[in-house]
Amino acid sequence: MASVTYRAVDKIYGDGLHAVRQLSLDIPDGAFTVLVGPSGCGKTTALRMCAGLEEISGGELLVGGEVINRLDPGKRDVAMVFQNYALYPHMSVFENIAFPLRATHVPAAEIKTRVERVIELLDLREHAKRKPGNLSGGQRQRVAMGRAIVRQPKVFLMDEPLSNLDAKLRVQMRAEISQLQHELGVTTLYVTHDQTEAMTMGSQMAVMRKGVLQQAGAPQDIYNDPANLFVAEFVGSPAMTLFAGHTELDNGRTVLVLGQQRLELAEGALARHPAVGRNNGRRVVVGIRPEHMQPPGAADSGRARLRGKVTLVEPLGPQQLVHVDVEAEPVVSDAVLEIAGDGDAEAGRANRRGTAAVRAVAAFDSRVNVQAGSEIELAIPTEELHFFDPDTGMALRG
Amino acid sequence: MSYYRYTPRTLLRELVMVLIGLAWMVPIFLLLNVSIKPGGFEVYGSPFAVTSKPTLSNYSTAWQGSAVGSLGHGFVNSAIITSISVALLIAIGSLTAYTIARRGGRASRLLTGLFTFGLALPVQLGTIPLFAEMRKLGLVGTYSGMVIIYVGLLMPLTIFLYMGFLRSLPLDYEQAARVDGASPLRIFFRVVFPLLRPATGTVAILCGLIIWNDFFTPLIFLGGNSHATLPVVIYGFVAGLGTEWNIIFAAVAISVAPLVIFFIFAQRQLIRGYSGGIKA
Amino acid sequence: MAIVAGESSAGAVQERRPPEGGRRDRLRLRRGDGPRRVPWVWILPGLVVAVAIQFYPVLSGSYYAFTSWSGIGPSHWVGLKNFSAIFSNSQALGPLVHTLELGFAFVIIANVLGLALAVGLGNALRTRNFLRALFFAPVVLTPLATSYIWAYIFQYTGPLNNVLSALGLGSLQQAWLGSPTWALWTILVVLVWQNAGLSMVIYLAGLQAIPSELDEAAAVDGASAAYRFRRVTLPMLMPAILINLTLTMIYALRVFDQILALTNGGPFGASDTLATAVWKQTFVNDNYGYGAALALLLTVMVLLIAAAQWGLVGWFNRRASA
Ligand SMILES: Nc1ncnc2c1ncn2[C@@H]1O[C@H](COP(=O)(O)OP(=O)(O)OP(=O)(O)O)[C@@H](O)[C@H]1O
Ligand SMILES: [Mg+2]
Repeated sequence: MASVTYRAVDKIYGDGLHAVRQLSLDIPDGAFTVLVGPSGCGKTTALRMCAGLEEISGGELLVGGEVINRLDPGKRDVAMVFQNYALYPHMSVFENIAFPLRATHVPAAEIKTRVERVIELLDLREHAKRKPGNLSGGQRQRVAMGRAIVRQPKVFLMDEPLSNLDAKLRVQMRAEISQLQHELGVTTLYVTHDQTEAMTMGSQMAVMRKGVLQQAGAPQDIYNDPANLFVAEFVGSPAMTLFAGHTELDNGRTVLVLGQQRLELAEGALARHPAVGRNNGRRVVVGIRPEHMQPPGAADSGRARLRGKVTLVEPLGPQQLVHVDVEAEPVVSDAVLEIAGDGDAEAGRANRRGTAAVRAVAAFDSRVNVQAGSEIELAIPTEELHFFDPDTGMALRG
Repeated sequence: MSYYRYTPRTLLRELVMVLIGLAWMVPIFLLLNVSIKPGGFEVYGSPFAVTSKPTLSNYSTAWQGSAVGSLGHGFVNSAIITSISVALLIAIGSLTAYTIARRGGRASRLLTGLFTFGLALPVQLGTIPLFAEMRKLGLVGTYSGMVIIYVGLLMPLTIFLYMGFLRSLPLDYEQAARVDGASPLRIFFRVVFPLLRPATGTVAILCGLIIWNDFFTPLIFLGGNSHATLPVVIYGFVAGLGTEWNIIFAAVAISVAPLVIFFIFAQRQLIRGYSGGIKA
Repeated sequence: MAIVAGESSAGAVQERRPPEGGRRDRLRLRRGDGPRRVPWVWILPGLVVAVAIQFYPVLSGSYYAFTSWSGIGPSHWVGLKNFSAIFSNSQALGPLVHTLELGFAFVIIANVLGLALAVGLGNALRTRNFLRALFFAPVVLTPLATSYIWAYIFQYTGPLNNVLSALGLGSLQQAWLGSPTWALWTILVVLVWQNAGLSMVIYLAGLQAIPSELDEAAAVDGASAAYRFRRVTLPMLMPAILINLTLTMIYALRVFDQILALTNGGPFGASDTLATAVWKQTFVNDNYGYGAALALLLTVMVLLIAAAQWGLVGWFNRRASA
């Protein structure tokens, strides 16, 4: 077992593309770190540098405290699971799993016991003699895992290993991989662009954008305290709703102005965000998570209210997503638009430009009765609001 | 395979490959070098040395040719026979392949088998009675006889290439045309044939080169005749020259020049035609 | 209008089926609406010309192989006499032996070299595209014409012997094409130069069809380059290898132009092959029956090899999907 450390690692491809910039990330021994970000942000590149499949342009990469920049892939003692599994089509399941051992001249008897143990562990017993071409997606996935496990490597590297599975299998394998990693305790770097996988699987999460690491930490911490607008919008599903607005001082109280509506900030909110409080006319971006917009009830009589019009109700079983159009100024920063427009900031801007309403998405208990088309007041616990600088996009802390 | 770093070993491999490549081109270098030598000692004594008195007179001598016919004649004959044969192969072959591919059923499988079998047949065995028959019909030594022979001999290859392409061509276009009420003939000429263009390109390249470069068939059917193609003309020409290599080489250089030019401009399509056509 | 709608909905139904079955059903659906189907007559021009020029003459030639026909006049059935003549003495057997020798040597060398070039010119090299074109170039050049360049190179007073003496290897000098021992192998060199590029191109296409992750996965798993080549690349290259083996074998068995240009089968028949012997017996000596017997032998050999490849590919596909 070993830790993995990226020290200001850079990757510049032959065509001049700067795919990874100054990446510094520490994955402690035995940790499960998920690297997440939108398509093309450099996740795979970062992973492949660790495997030795991509040359490192700058900085240092350490495994177990040892710089491995110039080590051959086979000498690094890392195992990799590829997105398409990369199973050898001409070898049986057994031979596929045995391959890393045969390649490194492990004695035949030992190969047999080790491979069989892995086959048992992954429940592949009755498929051992079959070729990958005849296996289902989930079974192939397990064979690919088996090939990584059998080596007992220092590090697992996985590149979107679940992206080729259907939704149901993905949920199942998500749990299986987490559990397996927990049992084996092998340091794992897992790449995905699916933020649900990132939230649920890892003990640590690292969010990347355009080759730059945005934030790293425990998933819940990142969810609760996103470092910037990009992370705020990217992490969490449905995404956080963002409003552009400003603060005003009104008789010693701090009021948040969103369009025509005025929300008084509670003491708790001012305590958490001193930079926002006691400030007149400061422009801010405000973020509200879906679970923090609730139908007004008895328990929250003191809370601030936000009026809007329900445009759509999506029942999800225990919950329902309530889309509410609030008359306020939308946020049009690049980072947010990049995600809204699926990677294309220009398209996202075109989508949002000219609208004077923000589409807020709230998560209600499904027992609450809401009708599309009706006016609604949302109760907002202001101490749960997230504040960002509209110019830099950074969270306003302290 | 970007993980292969450009190491000193890669550089070494590159150098070795470049050296082998240069060695591979030695015959071509000799061809050009000797073809501009004035003759005599220089041709034998110092084949690799570049002459101090380069001359193009070998080329004009070669161009004038011998009793067998001039290179110019050979060019014209080769061009006529090749282009007409290729045009007919494309027209007939595409239609035949299309019919076989779209009719389906046992008859189609049988015909596919027959043409695949024809793909492997060497020409020698059939040439013997063919020669006798063509002589009877007065077709030996004529353009039309040569064209018929090539169309027949290369029909299996043409059909094979078209079939491979047709198998991967979606039926949607044809179905759309049928829904629009087009007749089969119209569907073929307006919809299918244009879609077959990549395959037509491969057919033109492969069959064209095979016919242009062929020596055995024209030697038998056009030997010593004023309709002889380029390889036959060269063969007769060289036989008459003995060891005047500078002139022989000028003739060889002239005869391969169109191929070299073609290769330089259509290298990618050529390589794809050969590797893809064979894979299909 | 109603008919059109009916047709299009039928089409929509078929589209959901797998392509093979869909195609067959479509034909069944269309049966009866006559002029809309592709008419069978369309194959007539292609079929007639192929039968007239290729299939019928081959059958007829096979018949002549058992006669003593001289090209004109009636032919007399002689049974297996032509074949017993071919196998009667080592002189007559020469073309068959030379054909096999040349065939096997060419297959091995062209494939080893073609594969080595394909692997050597892998993705890392900067000059790879240029070098690939360079090695492929001889493939498109007229075999007869380029053979004359080699005829010059192998002359007793030619460049090869020049180089040998310059290297102090003068004792190796000889008349390469005039030597009964060397003539055939000299021809082999020319064949390899002209065709290794084709093998290379087919191997390159085969290599490109192998997903690069397979090699990468093996590299991460600690397999050496040689081990990866043997256990991953080579097995996955099997289809290309089979195609190449067949093509090179059939090519070598049919070789004619180069031999005529280089040695004309000499000296004393030392480099005669079946193809050149057919030509000499038939069109020079007017022994049509004997020539046809040689040609039949050649045809059977080629067909056997093609059939073997066909069987191997089938076996390979079945095994791959097992
Ligand atoms: N071999 C290469 N040469 C040049 N550019 C490359 C290469 N591989 C990737 N890139 C570029 O580097 C950037 C990052 O690519 P990378 O594959 O790491 O993204 P990713 O985050 O894994 O995306 P995805 O989620 O789509 O897999 C992309 O812009 C990509 O186009
Ligand atoms: Mg990726």
